[in-house]
Amino acid sequence: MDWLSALPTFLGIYLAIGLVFAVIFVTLGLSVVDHDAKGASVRVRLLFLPASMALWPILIVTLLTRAIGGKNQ
Amino acid sequence: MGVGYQVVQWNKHKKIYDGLLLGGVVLYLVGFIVIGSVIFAKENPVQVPILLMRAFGSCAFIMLTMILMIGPLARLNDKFLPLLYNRRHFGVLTFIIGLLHALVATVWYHFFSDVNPFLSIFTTNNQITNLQAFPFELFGILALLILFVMAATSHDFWLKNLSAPFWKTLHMFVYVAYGALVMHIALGYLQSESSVVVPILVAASFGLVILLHLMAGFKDARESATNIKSGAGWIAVAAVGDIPESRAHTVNVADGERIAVFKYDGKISAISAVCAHQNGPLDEGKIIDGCVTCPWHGYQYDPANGQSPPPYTEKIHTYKVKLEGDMILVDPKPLPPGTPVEPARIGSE
Repeated sequence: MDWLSALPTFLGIYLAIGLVFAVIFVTLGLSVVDHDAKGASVRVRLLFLPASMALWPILIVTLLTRAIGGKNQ
Repeated sequence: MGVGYQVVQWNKHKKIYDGLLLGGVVLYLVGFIVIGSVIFAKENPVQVPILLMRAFGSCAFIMLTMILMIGPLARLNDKFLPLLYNRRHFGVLTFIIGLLHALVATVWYHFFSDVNPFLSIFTTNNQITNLQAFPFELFGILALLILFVMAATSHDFWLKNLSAPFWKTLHMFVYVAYGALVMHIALGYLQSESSVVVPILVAASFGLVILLHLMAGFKDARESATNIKSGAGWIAVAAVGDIPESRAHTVNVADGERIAVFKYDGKISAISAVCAHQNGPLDEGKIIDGCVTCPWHGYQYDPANGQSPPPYTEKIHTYKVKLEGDMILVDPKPLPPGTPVEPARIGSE
């Protein structure tokens, strides 16, 4: 099964993009989506890293929605 | 309460819960390894990594079964509610134990091949059309991925920012993970073991989880049906004397809604029984410093208006309430979150 052997490559690429996004998100993006996260400690930011890595497409949509919403206000 | 984030909002209850949880897991793992090595040594000596793999794997399955049983058990009997209060840490620890199982299995079966071990998991066996030789590892990987996402999002930040409906939907995938885990074990045993003891235990666990969910569902439906009066009028809740001071009586109404009717300072107020924070059971909380206090994370609400005290901003539904003699009546129609409602005064009639 070709798709089966392609799965780890796909997962690897997905998570690699996720890792890059997650580092940027937990460093700069947290307070954009949630004001309560402003000034969050390094430990809290590290705690949010795995989920940011896994859910990066959803978070990109959230960030874009907030950015567009913010401009329109 | 909506201001700043911490890694864990510790309280005494959580520390006791986590202590018992960790103690139980360590006890199980040590017990499994000690007893397992004695039992297996008699008939068919098992190598240490395989023993570890079985210990972690069985532990994770038992933990996930318990997690899925806690919800319906708490709905069936209030005595199980304390188990529900910190289920989040239970889930995270289950993922960690499952991950240890996966790591030992990967190292033992795939690390010493020429191929990348993670690639090897997917390429060693590709007979997905043959049940007898199906790569059961795929079900385990699926379960582990779901548990990972659930564990990683088990924080207030994600509940708030992914939105409660999305977060809840995401966490409902725990049932997919459980099903995948059952398949992982069943197919794994089918291919390598002749004993039927483990498959029977797994099937019994699976059946028990389904049975408890059905029983809890029937109970909720029965209570809702009892509480719905024709014309959607006032619901008779309980006599004033039936509710302890600073505590609540729960009413199940249509559409699965739960109302908490509190007695305090000679007054009666009704609010939603579901905390705005993480759907915690406010009806199991009590009134502290004049506010209904959620037993899960200590979120507080004024019983007369459903609003968290400043600077917090959480709001929940309130309900009209009145007294007829000693009987408390509630209008099941929810008012917008944070709507002030005049409490019924005990003895004012």
